[in-house]
Amino acid sequence: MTSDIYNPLYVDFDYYTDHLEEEDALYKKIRSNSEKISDIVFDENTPTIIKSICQRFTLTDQQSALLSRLIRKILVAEVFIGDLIKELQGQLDLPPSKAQELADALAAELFAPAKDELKELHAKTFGGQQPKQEGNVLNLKT
Amino acid sequence: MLLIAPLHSAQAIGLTLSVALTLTAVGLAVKYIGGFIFKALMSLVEMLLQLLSYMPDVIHKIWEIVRDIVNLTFILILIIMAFGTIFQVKEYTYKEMFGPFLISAILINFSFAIGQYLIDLSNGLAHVFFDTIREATGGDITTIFDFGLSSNVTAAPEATSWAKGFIDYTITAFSEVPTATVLKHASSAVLSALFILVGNFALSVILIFALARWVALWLLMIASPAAWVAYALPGHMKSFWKMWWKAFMGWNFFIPIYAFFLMLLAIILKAKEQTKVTWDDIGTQYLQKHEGAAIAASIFNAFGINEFIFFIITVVFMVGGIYAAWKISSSLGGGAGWVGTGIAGRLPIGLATKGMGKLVSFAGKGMGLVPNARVQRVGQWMQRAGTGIGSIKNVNSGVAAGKALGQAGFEKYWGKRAHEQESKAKEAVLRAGGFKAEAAAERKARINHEKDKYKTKLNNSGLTEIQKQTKVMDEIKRALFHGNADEATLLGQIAAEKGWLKDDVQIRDTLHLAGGTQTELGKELFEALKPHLSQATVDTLFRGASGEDLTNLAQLRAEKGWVQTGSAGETEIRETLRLMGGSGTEDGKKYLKTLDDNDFLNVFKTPDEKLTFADSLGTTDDALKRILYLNAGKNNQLRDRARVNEMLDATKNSSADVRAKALSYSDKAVKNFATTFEDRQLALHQPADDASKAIARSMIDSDEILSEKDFTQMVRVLQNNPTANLTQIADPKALEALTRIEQRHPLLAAELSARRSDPSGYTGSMNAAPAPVRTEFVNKMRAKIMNPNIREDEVFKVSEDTWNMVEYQDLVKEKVASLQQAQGRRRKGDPGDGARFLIRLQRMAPPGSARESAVNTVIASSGININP
Repeated sequence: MTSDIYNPLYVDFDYYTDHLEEEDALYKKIRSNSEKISDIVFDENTPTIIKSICQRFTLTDQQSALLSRLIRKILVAEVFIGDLIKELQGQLDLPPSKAQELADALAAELFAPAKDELKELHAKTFGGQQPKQEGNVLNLKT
Repeated sequence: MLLIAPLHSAQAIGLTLSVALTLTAVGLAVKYIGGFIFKALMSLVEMLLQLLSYMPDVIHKIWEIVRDIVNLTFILILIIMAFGTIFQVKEYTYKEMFGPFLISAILINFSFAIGQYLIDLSNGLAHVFFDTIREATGGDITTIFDFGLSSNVTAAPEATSWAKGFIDYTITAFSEVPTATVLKHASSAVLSALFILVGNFALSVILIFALARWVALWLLMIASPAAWVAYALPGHMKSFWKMWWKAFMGWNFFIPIYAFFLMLLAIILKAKEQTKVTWDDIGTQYLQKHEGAAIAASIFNAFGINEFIFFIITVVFMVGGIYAAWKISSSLGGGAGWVGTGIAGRLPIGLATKGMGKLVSFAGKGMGLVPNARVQRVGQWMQRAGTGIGSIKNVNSGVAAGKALGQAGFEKYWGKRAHEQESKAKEAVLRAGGFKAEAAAERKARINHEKDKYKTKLNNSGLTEIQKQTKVMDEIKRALFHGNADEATLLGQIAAEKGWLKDDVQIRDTLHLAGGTQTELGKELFEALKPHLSQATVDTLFRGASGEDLTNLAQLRAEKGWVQTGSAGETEIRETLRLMGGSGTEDGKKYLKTLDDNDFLNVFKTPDEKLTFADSLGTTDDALKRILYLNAGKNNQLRDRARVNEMLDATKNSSADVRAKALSYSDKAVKNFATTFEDRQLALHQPADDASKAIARSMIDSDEILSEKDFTQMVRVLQNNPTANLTQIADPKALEALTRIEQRHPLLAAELSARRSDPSGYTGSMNAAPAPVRTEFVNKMRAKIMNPNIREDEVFKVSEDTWNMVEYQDLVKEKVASLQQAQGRRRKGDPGDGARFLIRLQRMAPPGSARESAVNTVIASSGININP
């Protein structure tokens, strides 16, 4: 078993080897969420979907690893989904239009099966928080 | 009873007479033998004083050989100068060396003539004083000893033979029958013996110094070409010239200085015949009034009071003159001063003067009983003078006491009022620096008083600060010019307090006038100066200092971090400690503590230099070596195991405090020479030495004892027992390690516990352990592993030997199954906690390691898919 830059669970494999408590906490969070969300995390197809998106958007390995980590954080509600585009711009250093397109792709291809659960989770976790950046808004309706 | 009583009385008288006869016999024997020696010593001293200028031809011949050899070294000096100039080496360039080189090149060839001239000058000066003595005594120089010590009484010159003397005494004693009279004769004989012994001691001291001066000057003359060539050389080599010059001047001028004091004695002794009538008259009156005063009568019998008083004066001048001469000679820097200072502590001068003081005081008491007011006043004064004589420790106080005694005698003879004599005598004593302690205290108080007055006057003068400074500095110069010590001292203190005294020469001269830094006033002045002294000033003062001044300046340099750098600094430290009497003296300890507090600032450029210096000391100065090593330890500068061992060895006999510090420094140093955990593990298993314990303690404190092997080795090291087993843990630190392991590493604790269940404290492979140990091990391991709080890392880090046990692998599988089962229903894709446990173990195992192999065996046989 090694780290996998396209797997949200194993992208930080080495880090968690030295931080077992954090890894336990992560599993606890995943297991406490709705099953549709944990299915996305544990599904063996998830790394394949992410890899496909990364290749389509010509992301580097480093950007790919950052994207996998960001996906994990959204799935466990550590990052507000409304800030996804802004995070993509900032962390992956993408132009706004490309970040918007990438966010839309993620919503459509990865988050779609659990969109309601994600809305509910984020509403519960972040309350009435508004996206930090107006205009470019992630479309979870598709 | 009536018949027995007279018999007892007769026996008692017989015994008393026997004792008296024995004392008389011994006393007279010593007196006659001592008298013979006295005459012989006097002849020898007279001969030596006549032959002051004697120098054998062979000295000149040897000097020529030395001169020729030394002339050869000039070529070498020229080469050194050439290289020094090419490479611009400070102090070795032609600019700095050529002048002294030229001077020494010329003067070497005249060094004998120069030395001879100075010796002649000194001897000429001595002969001026000797001529005055001869004129005063009308005879030889030693006539003053003869006359002053009353050798006609004490030494019985034409020895009427011991036997004749004894018979005379015995006949006289028995003819006068009463026991008291016989005892009086005995005590007179003993006192006469005592006086001749004191006289002989005084003459011996003179003889020894005169002989030593002869030999010392010959040797110094032979060495003079080498001394002059040292003058041309820079740095420490130049110090040989200074040393030679000081020694030469010291020895050379020792005799004229002493002659000066003898001249004073001769002048005082001129009055002896004039005072005789007066003193003997007082003695007779006293004895008439006090017939039972046996001791006083013995003194008068042996001597007569006039002889007795002048005897004391003579001895004080003879011995005190030697003492003063060596003190003055010492201020010239060496020679007789060195020798004198070296033996000063061993001479019973203090004891002798104390005894004499008591006798004078006693005589004064006796005079107080004479029914004559003037005599009584003189008696009272004599009692005080006795106390003064008792406190004589140097020639100044001796001169003063002598003058006071003499004056009192003359004044009475000349019929003046006794109380005037008393006050004048006392004043003379104080002026001459007599009654030293009293005078020093008075001087200090007087100077402080004058200083306060002067400061007030200065503050009210209306002058500006600059004008005040100019005025004080001018007045210091004037006081120095006139040699006014008190004024220079008080002005110096004011200037120092104000920060005005910055000129090296003025500081040095002011300190010198205050008596150097060793006197109370000098110390006070020095303390006042300290904050204002620059390094350059202290350097200059230090170069020209000697004795206690030098050590005080060295202490200041240590405090300020001004000790020289490199080998010069090392020499300075060593030399200072030598002058302080070694590292063990109070001064030495204080000096070392100061250096340590300042971390030997400026002396060493690198820690290695410090430790190399410490090593170079070998066993010559253990305290210095110890301080150097401890200082390196304190600053975490011990970089290898050998150095740590050296420090621990240097402190093995130190106090508990110092030893505790050394141990703490050694623990801290471990990570300098064993930087990684693996290095420390390796170091722990190396052959045991002092550093091994430091390694063991360091690993315990860093929670690095993680295996049975390291634990066992740690116990063996700490307990100095290479065969100690796990049932023999006794060292407090080892027990602390065991407690830590029980709290933080439960599986290792279980293993150790299982091993300790065997009486031998089983240390072999667990796979080959006796069945009971193995069973105990499995049971204890199971209890720990199945605990829900036990994490993967704990399970993983047991030894490879344990991982290789089938029983242990089964326990891990048991744990994994229980975790997997405890989770209950798993969501799709969730590997489960048991699988995650195995995944983590796999992640922890280094690729290709025995543990990885064991973990994979467990995974394969666990029936759990870690890759769902």
